[in-house]
Amino acid sequence: MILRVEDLFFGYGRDDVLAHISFEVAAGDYVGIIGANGSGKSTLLKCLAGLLTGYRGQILFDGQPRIGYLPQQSPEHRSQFPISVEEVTAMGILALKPHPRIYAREDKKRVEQILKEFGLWTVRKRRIGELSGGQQQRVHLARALVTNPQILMLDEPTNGLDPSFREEMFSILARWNAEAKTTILLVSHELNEVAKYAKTLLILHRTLQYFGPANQAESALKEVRKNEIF
Amino acid sequence: MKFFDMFQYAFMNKAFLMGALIALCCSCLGLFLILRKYSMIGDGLGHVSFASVAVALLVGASDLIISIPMVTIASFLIYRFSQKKMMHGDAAIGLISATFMALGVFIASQAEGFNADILSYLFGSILAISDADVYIALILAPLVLALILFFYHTLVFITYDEDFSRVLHVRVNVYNYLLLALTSVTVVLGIRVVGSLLISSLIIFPAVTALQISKGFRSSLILSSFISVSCVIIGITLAFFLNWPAGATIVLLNGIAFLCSLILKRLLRR
Repeated sequence: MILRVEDLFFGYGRDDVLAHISFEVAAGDYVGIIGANGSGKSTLLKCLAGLLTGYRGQILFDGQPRIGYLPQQSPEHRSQFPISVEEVTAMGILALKPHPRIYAREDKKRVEQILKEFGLWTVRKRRIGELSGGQQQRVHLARALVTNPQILMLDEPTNGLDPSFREEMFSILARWNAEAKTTILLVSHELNEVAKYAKTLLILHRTLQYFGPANQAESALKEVRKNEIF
Repeated sequence: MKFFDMFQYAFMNKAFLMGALIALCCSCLGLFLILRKYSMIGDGLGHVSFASVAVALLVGASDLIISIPMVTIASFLIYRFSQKKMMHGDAAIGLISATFMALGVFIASQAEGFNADILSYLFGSILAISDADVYIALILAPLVLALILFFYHTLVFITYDEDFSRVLHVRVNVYNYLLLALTSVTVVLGIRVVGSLLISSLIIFPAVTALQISKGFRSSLILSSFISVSCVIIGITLAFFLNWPAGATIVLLNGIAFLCSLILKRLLRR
């Protein structure tokens, strides 16, 4: 077990967006978190990532695992940002270092390795804003994975991207999960893709609707669809 | 009058030194603020600064003693409002800035005898720069440079992606408050040179100009500092010889530099 959530509640105002959420994630699992708009799936991930505090209940990790995080993309914010693909990727390593965060030779090697793996080596000197939305998100995935995190959290990483990139993103995640044993927590509304690649499904609609093996979720999904959650 | 004659005047030496130091601080901090969509914070804090000067003149206290804490608290309030999702950052800036500007105008209208003094803060006056202002600027500029040099990577990735930084346990709030505190002191001092109405341009123009032609973050920092300091030095010189208003001249020079950068960007694209 790498993560345990016990009776989690969270609300932005008076009403709880999340209520009575309890589940355990085994190391190396691939959990797809799905639900309709407003079901609380991004809120749940933000609580797990430590971006939202003030929740009730408990979120317990096994030790202090390295966490990789991939937020939803916002290209308009980055169009002007004067930073190269290589510098963005190196952030993943530098953020974990003490001050002054020095970009050492071994860090450069690791960044080179991951950029080559993601097919980004040839564009490493280009400004991030010059890349397409899909390429930018690939860079951010490389940044999240450059430290070989034990847990990778992704919040709708394929939003607004073309179908070919979506497929590529899901297969990259499946490969990392299989080869590096990275535990993946993926929030998505791409039900078919998530159901295809995730080992475990977490279906959310304020409360936990289903948490279990993806291949046994069909009846839960049908039930949920029937209740017009999707 | 010959070119070097202007250095005979103590107020000109103070203006050059203070102007250059403030221009350096504004351009360095400005790049981070602009990329975080906090461009107008200089404008907001300029207005707060105006109100704080009115309060200081009313109670007969040193304006720096009143202005620095008052503007710093206002900047923290703007940050807290936007962080708590009570409102967008720009709305928080507008709200605080309008409230304090109104307070400044109210005090100025009720009090008698210092309306002429307060105008120098509205439009800037290099004659109003005191020794204390210069000493604080001499402490502030190395502080800003040290912050940027030592925490360069941290500031860049907080600016680029705040959520990512928080997930990796970077103490985002500490850096944000530090950045805001330094910006507040810079604005308080900067209004002596260009005035509270134009201080935001010292923060916005050099950074935006540098971003048009510079590819990297470091080169943007260096270029915006160079543009900013050059405009201040040339602006004060022109103001002295041609009897132009220094603040407005500096801002107009920044505007010209920005137009040149747009043209250069176009030429470089061809």
